Amino acid sequence: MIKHALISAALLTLPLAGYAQGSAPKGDAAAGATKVSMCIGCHAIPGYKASFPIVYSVPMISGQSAAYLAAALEQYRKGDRSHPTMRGIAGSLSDQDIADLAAYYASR
Amino acid sequence: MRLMPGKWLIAASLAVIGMGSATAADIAKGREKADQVCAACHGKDGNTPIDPAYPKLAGQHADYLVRALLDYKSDQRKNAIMSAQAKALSRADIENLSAFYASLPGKLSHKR
Repeated sequence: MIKHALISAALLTLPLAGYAQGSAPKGDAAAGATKVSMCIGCHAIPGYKASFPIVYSVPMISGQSAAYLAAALEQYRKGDRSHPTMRGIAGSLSDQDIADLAAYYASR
Repeated sequence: MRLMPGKWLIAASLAVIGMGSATAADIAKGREKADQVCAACHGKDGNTPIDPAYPKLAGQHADYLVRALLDYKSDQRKNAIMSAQAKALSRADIENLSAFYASLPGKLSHKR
């Protein structure tokens, strides 16, 4: 009985543990500064335009809010935003990378 | 010297293209529309969204904002709120709104 109760208790706490892990990690702007190599080739060049599949100016992201930037990267990773280059780059980022980059660009 | 007329033609064409894109959108109409439909969430100044998950728009590139709104309108970019908002906008509204927000002073930059 005690064993069963313990297992039940453990199973009950599993979703909570999953929820805690699933919540967004805290962003570290200093760590983000070391992860910008894939961003600066486009976003740090004033006047630079995305050329595929449609030509338009690459957005300014420095000074944007961290929550928006993190949401944007998550949407690219998930496929809710479609730009091919950004989908590829966001797909290579961990949750921590996204939080760090968002914190870094929000601090610029 | 023989190439000169051709060069002038190219320069004149570029000037016309430049003028065309500068006069296509109406910032005053954009401001009017923005006050009605965008300001409640993105802030009247485009810099003070009511939720940090909503982007600052002030000073952002107009052609990027046009792209974002067209993508929302066509569901290429998926967001329940913005998709509904963008579907209610005409192409002219989108051009005007984008020109208006691009004209506002903002904190956004390409700084590394």
